[in-house]
Amino acid sequence: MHDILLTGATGFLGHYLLAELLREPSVRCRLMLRPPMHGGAQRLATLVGDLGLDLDSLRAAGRVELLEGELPDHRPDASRLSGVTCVVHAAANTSFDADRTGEPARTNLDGTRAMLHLAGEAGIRRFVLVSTAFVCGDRRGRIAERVSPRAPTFANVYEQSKWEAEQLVWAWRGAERIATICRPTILFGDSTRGRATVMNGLYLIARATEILSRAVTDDAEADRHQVPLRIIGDPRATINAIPVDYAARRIAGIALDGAAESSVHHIANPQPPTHEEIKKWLEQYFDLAGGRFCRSDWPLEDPNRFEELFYSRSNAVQDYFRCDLSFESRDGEETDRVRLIDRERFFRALRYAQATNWGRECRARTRARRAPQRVRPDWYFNEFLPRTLPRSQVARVDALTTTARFVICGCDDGEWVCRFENGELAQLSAGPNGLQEAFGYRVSVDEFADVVTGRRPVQDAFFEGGAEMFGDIDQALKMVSIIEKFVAEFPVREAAGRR
Amino acid sequence: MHAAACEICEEHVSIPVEAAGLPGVLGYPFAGKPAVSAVIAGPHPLLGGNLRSNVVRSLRQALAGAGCVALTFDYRRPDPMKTGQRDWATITAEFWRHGCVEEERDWVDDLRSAARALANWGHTGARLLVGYSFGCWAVAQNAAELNPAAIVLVSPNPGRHDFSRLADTRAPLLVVQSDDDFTHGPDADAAWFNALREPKRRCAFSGGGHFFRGREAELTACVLDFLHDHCALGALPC
Repeated sequence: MHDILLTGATGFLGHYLLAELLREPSVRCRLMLRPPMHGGAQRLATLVGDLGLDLDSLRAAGRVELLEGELPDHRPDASRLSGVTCVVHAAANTSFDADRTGEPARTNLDGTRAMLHLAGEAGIRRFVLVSTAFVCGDRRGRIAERVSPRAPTFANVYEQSKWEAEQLVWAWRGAERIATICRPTILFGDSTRGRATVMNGLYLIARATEILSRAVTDDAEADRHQVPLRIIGDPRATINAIPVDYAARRIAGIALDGAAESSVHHIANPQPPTHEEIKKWLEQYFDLAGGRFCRSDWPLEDPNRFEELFYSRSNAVQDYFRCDLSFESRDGEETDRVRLIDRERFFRALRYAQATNWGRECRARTRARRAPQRVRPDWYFNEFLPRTLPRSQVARVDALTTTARFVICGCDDGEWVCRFENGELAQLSAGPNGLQEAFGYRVSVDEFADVVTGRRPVQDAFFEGGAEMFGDIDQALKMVSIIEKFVAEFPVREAAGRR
Repeated sequence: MHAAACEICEEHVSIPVEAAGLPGVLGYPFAGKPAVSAVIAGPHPLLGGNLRSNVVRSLRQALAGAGCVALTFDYRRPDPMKTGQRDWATITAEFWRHGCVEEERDWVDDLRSAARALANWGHTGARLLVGYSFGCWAVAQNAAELNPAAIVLVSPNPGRHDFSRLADTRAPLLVVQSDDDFTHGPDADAAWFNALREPKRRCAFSGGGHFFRGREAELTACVLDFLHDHCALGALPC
């Protein structure tokens, strides 16, 4: 009997992975879902329903159990994990850009740390981390299936957070603990229908090509078969994309293999398409021609308008097209003899992408409603703010001399007045009396929590929510950008502030 | 009355500025070829302004729904790693003291870069320039060079910014103001508007404040009325 705790089951890879794990009759899965759990359960039911699974029946049969949890702070109680034999940690934030809440490191690194802690508490001996092949950063050539202790230079914070998470998992392994790291390459639509619920990577290139095609159609002077597009890269280099169902099947197989020792596995395409092939397929699909490869550095010198248009939509993933990488894959190379992505499958995936408006319809159907954060205002004003403000860049705004009142509605004694002098918090008093403010904000306790945790920009809270300004509005507006800067530096993460 | 709004697409785009890119959101009708393009300049970035502002977003979506391609963007952020650029704390301190900073010149240039990007992406038809709050000044500074088919200014602040360069263009002008805008009084608004060159129209709101919070639909209806009347919006494609 395999009893698996799976995170990230509502993700693109995660729900395919759940379906693959459940193919094995002896598998039981416990799924960690974000609160509110009924929302996550509905989303999951929709996703796995598309794969032919009935979540209600699986739950009734005891093959799937749902646990509430949100990484990194809100873990399920270890006592509820009795009997679990393996953690498959697939939850991830795939953003390439760091945001004000500390993502993607918060989910990818702190979340992994929390799951390792939970596995330790519950006495679980096997931990499978779903990482990425691109933890190799700027390394080139053939990438080995091992954990390197030396960090490369990373193209983005996502790669870095995954590399750091691998280091944690590798350090966790021991005589009684088996760590397994699975590193998928770029995920693509499934091999039967081309279905995808997230369309990054190759899709951004395809979408940019579609937009280019429309622009050429609209331009009476442009010849669609001679589009002057310089493509930075080597035509013979490959782009290692894999169908999501293939990746899920491989990872499920690894998680269920009864490994005796820790290991690293690239989940890679043994015969990936070359850049030249991708270009040819895109040109055929969109009836375009004229693009040519060049070895220019990025950014292009004197880009023409077609190049500006193309790269404005695909710049985020260009790093992955400017290099030549191959991935050692001991299991995959022995077993895979057919091409995982050929012209027919590529076209199928593009048709699916266009039919779903490039993933927008999938996202609208399965969008999760997140529960409001809980932060105690008294803790925030009395402890957090005095402790963090002196370390903030706000303390360097030497002209900042003013008094601001914060009225937090929906909690007891929810008023604080902050006196700033030369950027420093000179005085802080609670209650409706005392210092006379120059301006102030009135905000609900939920809205307050969303703002100070960075989940909601201050400006959005004001324009869309219940937040209001009073007093000198000009100063209050100036303070908005200062508060935004402070929250970006110091978003509330500490469990101490939660209630 | 306008035709029902089209289904629209919105995409995140990168607008080339020097060696970097400004984040932008492009709104356009799902079907049909937009004949009109609009660049929307938002509020002051040191007053919390960005492309998520309710007015900026509402205008983008309304214009896209009326068959335009509409581009909104965030002004460039200070990058102290670059030679000669100042850091956030220095700029913010100066802004707190004086209410203006020298970086505002760069933000005026950012509007020009956005307009250029839109043209380079193939949207070369009639162009609208729309400004909100600080963005009104950016529009006024660029109006003569960008030769727009029409200009819309929402909540301009003539007490803080100089709008004399509006005289350099003959494009039809719409000014939208509220009688309770905190930045100045209604009498000052009317006097400033009366001194502007023709052709022009004023849409005076009662109780819209500077932010038009909850009044976005009325605001966009007033803007679309003006654009239809001045033929800047052609026959809607949907």
